[in-house]
Amino acid sequence: MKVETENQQAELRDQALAERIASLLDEQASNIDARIASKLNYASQQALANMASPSSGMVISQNGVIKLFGNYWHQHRLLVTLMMCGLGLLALLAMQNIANQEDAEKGDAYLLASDLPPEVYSNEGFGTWLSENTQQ
Amino acid sequence: MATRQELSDFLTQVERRAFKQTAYAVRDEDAALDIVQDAMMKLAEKYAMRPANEFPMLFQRILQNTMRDFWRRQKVRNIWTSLLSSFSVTGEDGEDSDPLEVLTSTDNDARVEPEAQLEQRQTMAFIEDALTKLPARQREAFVMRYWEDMDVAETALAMGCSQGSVKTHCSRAVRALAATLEKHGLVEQLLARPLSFEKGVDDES
Repeated sequence: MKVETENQQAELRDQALAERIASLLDEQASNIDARIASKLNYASQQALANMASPSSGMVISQNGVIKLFGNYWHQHRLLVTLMMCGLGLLALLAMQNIANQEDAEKGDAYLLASDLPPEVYSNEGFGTWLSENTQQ
Repeated sequence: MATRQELSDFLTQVERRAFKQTAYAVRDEDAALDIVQDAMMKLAEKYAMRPANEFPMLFQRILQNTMRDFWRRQKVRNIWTSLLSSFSVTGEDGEDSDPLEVLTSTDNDARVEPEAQLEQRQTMAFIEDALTKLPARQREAFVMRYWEDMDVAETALAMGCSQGSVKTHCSRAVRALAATLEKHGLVEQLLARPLSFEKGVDDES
C-alpha cells in the first residue's frame, strides 16, 4: 500500500515537472528569433498556397531549388514507370523477331548453297538414305 | 473536412514549436527550417481535406518521417564526407561545438529582472541540452505528450507504436530530464514555478 502511494506520488511529481518543462519550452518557442519567425511564416504561407492549387507546376523544394513540374512528376511517376516497362518489352520482342528472321535467312542460304535440290530435304526417305550413307 | 482558415490557424499555432522540436532533434537551425517547411507542405498538399482535429497527429507523423528522411540523407552524406575528409587536412572547423553556445538569447522580455532572466536562460539551456541528448523516441514521445498536449492514443498513432510504449518512453524521458535538472539543483525550483503560460499565446497578447 505504501509502495503504491509512493509510486503515485512519483508519477504526479513527474507529471508536474513535465508540464513545467513544456511550459518553459513554450515560452522559449514564443521568443524565437525574428529571422526564423518570418521564415516560418513564409513557409506556412507557401504551404497554404500549395493547398489552394495542388496541381501547380512550381514547388519550392527544401533546398530552395525550384522544381518545375514537381507535382506532375509525383502524380504520374507510376504511369511513366509502366510506360518504360512497356517500351522495354516491345524492344525485347522486336529483338527476338529480328533474331528469328536472321535464323530463317541462314537456313535458306544453306539450302540454296547445297549440292542437293531443296525438295530432297522434304522427302521422307532422305533421312534413312543419309544415315545409311553416313554408316558406309 | 477542414477549411483553409483552420489549416492556416493550425500552422500558425504549431510552426514555432515544430521548429524548436526539430532543432532539438537535428541540432541545425537551417535543416530544421527545411524540415518544418517540408512537413507543412506535405500536410497542406495531401491532408488538407482531413478534419481539423486530426491535424496535430498527422502533422507530427509527417514531421517525424521527414526527420527520418533527413537522417537517412545525412548518413549517406556523412559517408561521402568522411571518405573525402580523409584526403584533406583537418582545421578549426573540425572541432566539436557545444550546443549551449548556439542557443538563442531572449532579450526582448524587459519586464523580467536580469537575475531571474539569467536563471531562466540557464535552466532553459540545461533543459534544451538534455532534450537534445534524449534518445529520439523518448524525445518524440515527450514532445507530443506534454508539449503538443496530445493524449496517449494520439501519440501512439503518430509514433506508430503501442500506448504502453508511449507511456514507457514518456516516463523515461521525464526521469532523464529530471536527473539532469536534479544535478543542477533545479527540480524544486521548477516545481515551485506557477504554470501561467498558455499554448500559442505570445507575450504581446
